[in-house]
Amino acid sequence: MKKDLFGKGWIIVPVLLGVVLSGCDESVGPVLGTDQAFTLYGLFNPTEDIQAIRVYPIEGRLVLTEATPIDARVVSTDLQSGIRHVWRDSIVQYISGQYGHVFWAPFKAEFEHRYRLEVERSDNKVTRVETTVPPFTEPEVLWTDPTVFDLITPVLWRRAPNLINIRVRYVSNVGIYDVDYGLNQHLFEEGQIVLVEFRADTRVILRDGFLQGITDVELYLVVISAVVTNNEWVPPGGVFNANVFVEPGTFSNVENGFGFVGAGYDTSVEWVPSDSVLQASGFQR
Amino acid sequence: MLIYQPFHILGFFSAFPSDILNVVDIYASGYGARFGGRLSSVIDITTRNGNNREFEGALTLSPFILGVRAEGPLIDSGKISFLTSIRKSVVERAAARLIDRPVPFDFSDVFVKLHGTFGHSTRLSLTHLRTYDRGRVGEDVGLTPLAEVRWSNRAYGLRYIYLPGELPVLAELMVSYSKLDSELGPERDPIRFGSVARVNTSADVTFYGGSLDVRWGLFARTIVLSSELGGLFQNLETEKEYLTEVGIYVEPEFKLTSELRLAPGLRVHSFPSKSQTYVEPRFRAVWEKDIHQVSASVGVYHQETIGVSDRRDATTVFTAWTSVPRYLGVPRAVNATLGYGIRPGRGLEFSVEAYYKNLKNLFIAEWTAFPRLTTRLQPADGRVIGLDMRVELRTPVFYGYINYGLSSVEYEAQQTSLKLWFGTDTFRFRPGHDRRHQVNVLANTSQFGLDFSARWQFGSGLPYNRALGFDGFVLMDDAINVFEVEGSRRVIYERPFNGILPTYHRLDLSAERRFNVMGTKITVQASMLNVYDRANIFYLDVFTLRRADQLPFIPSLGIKIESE
Repeated sequence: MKKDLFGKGWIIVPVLLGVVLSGCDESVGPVLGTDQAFTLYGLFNPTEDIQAIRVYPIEGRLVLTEATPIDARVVSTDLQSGIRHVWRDSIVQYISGQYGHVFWAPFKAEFEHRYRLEVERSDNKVTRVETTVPPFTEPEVLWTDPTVFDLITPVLWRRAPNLINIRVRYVSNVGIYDVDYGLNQHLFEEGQIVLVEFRADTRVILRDGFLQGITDVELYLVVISAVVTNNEWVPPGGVFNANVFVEPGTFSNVENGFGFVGAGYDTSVEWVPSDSVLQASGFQR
Repeated sequence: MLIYQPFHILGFFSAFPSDILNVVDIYASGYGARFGGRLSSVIDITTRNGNNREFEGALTLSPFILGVRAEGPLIDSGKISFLTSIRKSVVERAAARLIDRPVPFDFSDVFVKLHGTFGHSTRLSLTHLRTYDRGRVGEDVGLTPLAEVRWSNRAYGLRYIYLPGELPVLAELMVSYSKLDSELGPERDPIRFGSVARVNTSADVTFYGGSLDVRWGLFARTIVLSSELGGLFQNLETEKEYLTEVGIYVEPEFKLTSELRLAPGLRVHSFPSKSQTYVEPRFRAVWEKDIHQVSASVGVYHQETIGVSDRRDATTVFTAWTSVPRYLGVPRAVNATLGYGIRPGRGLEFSVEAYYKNLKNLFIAEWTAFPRLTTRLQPADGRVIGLDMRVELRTPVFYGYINYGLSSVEYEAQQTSLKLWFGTDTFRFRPGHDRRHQVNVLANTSQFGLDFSARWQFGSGLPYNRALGFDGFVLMDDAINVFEVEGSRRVIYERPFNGILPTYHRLDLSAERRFNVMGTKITVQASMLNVYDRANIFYLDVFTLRRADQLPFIPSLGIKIESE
């Protein structure tokens, strides 16, 4: 008996272990599923005649979007007037050849109205978002003090809650130069002010003109543009970074779903700097 | 020479046939100063030389593998011998017919070694190893790149040994080239490709002084890492890096008494391509008395190359190679081990070893919800705690062992976005290689003139990334026109590595009989692989739910013929 315990009887040990575990679970579920139904992107734009939203159904497998209708019913409601619009699906084929679902409705969003957008699946799962269209405003170029070295030019968006994608374009005989101000704005009682750093921005134009042998560098025009948005359209962390915001829920205002639906519109104004500013900065008047 | 992938697909076979091996040492942790450039473990394999007196050969035929081994003297004087082995799996054809199920795995290897003795003090050997592995992970349906995975090792080595008769010294000079190519996707048009190649030159000198042996050496290496990562939902990303490593080590071993050996060591490992140089102290002590043995070790280790894998690839069948960003330091591990072994007699042995690794300055693959594989990295720290236990029994009629490994690996990721994503600056998780429990049981016995063998392997489930679903992403940084801005597809992941794959376990049984027929040794083996037909996962695509399993239950009958 003892000899057997320390001998060939041990061969049953691995067999027994195998038998004991042979029935245990082999299945695996890498996709858990979610009650959230849709992911939405887009904006209510009071300067456009149609409103459009990209709708992604939240799916259980990663497959190419097919050019077939999706199980979604999209309805918007103007919460001030009570007007409802049922949106239509359009299957868009993008430049890459891939398809996407863009729902749209032919109406103009009203300034300062709040809208609710609901996307419902046939199983009554609803993804919802509310957003408020910002008030109407146009940028105003304020006075530049030519005696201050930096030649700061303030531009005011009166009553604007927030600005995104602020860009300044300088058109000169050397070329066209764009400066990205991103979200760089200052909140004042009157609204949002962008401080255009004229001297710092245009230094490169003068340098390039010198390098190209242009003795009389002329600045023809300055254009500033920005998107006026509501207060919700502010990126966490202060920068629109795709690698950060791609994480679901990081920058989202959608209930029972993901994505971001904002409200806003493009604005811009152009001007020719005064002779005194041009002279102070080194441009030909 | 270095072999980057020393196992064939599914881990059933080593890249080295067992009958060409001489010595195999496995250092799970705490290895000496002569090894470096790795944070984890080292397998040190020494192959034997070919028979320099007469020719020998062996032929193996089974539903799994066809193999040929040949060896013998190349010239009459016996000064130069050769040893060659060629193996080719036939599991895809033969075993698949046997069980009437597809078994889409293929592998092969070729080993050649020439060994020469020139005079009393000089030896020279040339070695070549080539391997190939392929595993199909489902029919290519055109939507995903993961239809097939392939890899191949190529290695060439030259080893020159000088033994001056007048001094107790062994001097070795080695030059080697090693390369591993990995591919994913169709064979003629792979969607992902990764490669790591190394040219290594080293010199080692060992002085045998009785109570003091001293080994020292120096090395210089060039490493080339390249990758081409494509796929349906990502742009092609191409990368190529050239790295250099140089260093020197010294590893004395003091035999203080008949019971106590101390081996302090020092390695200076420089990474010029990263502008970093590190001093790596190592220490190992072994005390043996009667039936007891106690060992302890501690050391510092650095590793420059990093393998990254796709979060969708739950079982990590494809790895892309990259290196740490310049000036940010090289990943470092401080390893400590403590072991105890006892031989109580009657063929019984018991050993236990505990280990701890403190990992700093690690770099791991970025986490992103974009469905892509890139070589973008994020910093991390980590620690490993583990315990290995082994009971071994050897009697005239029985040989067997039970190995149990307990391990816990924890990483702390430090990607800058974590605060926004999870509300914390760092995130602790179990990485994909953290196998908590591992058991290996082997039992061999002889009965009725037959050798019976039973082997059971168990591994608890590995962590992987589960998804909640899939949607899309559009960066809302402007008043975009959604009719024109396409956006990207996106994965809604659960928290990183929150899922656990099913456990791995398998029972193999075999019986074999040896005959001697006119000087020819014939072994007939009947075996059953994966006796209870466990569906162990080989590949799992989290995006498409596509799954491929390892080998099913396969009965087989094989024969090995060896001439002597």
